[in-house]
Amino acid sequence: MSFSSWVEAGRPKGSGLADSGFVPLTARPMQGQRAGLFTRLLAACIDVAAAALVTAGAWIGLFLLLLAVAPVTSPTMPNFLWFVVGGVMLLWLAWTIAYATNGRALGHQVMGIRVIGRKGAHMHWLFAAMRAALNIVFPLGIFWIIPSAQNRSVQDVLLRSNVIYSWVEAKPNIREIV
Amino acid sequence: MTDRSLTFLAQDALAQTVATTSGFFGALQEVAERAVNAALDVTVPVIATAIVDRIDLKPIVERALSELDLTNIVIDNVDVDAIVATANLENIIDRLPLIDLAEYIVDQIDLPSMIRSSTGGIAIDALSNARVGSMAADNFVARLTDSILLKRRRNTASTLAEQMAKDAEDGVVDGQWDPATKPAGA
Repeated sequence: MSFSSWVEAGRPKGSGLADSGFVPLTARPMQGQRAGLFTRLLAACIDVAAAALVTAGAWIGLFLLLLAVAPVTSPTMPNFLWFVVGGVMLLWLAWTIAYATNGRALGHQVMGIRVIGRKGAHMHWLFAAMRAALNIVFPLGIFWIIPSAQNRSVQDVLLRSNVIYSWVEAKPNIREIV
Repeated sequence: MTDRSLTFLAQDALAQTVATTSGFFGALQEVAERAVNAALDVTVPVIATAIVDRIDLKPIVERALSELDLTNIVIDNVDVDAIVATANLENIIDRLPLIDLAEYIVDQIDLPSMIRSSTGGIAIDALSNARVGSMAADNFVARLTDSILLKRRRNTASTLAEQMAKDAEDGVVDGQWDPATKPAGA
């Protein structure tokens, strides 16, 4: 883009080299294809581990806080089940926000995949929340990828979502998805 | 007097007559030239002004310029470097949108990405390798299950060769994925 045309176009940011330059040649043809079981399982594990870490951090933080407030008596912690519920809610919230916004939670970000809606756009908030809830209620649904001819989990089939390899930060653009 | 002395006298008289006559005509020519010049000095400007007043010079000049390759004439005959050397560069720089130019250059060379790639190169390489390995594992699982279930999977590496052939038809070189030219559903 020449300087004059750049000025006329309103000085657009990121009109220079494409981000795709950082995707290795071997991985480029896979961009936009539906991701497989292993990658998606790893991404889910990363998300669950992150949520567990935050929950454990919250437990330790609360314990230390109570210890600081009443150092003499042994702190009485709430039932650990509350922390588990909190962790699960955190996971649901994180997944919902991720699916409805850029399609990438932490695990997706690390593994270079993205959750998108039926036509390649971001998922609607309602469907995003439902998909996140389904992930938690029925995690085994991910294994439907194995018999599925199109690498779709139960969640994908029910909510018509897709999980694609998408290493770049650009908006979701997929090859034709049937 | 002899015949010979008479001849000398006649020759002398003739020479004097020729000299006098040529001097007279020379003076006469000079006077005539002055008169003509004086007359022309008066009349020519008046006539030229009258002619110029009656002629539209613009089309004549335009026609002359159109028949001349002025650019080449200037290039061949004018020392452009010498002219530029005398130009006041400070004034020119003052007129340039330097900040805009700097922003343009940073944008076009994608400086943030360059910094990112140079500083986080090792981490990015490790992440890329992990992702590629994960993709390979995906394909392995897919092929394994496909062979067990006796079916063929879509959108996986088993159809990668077909996809690359399609890319070649679409003008995609080396598997270069360009989001701008690959809109969703295209």
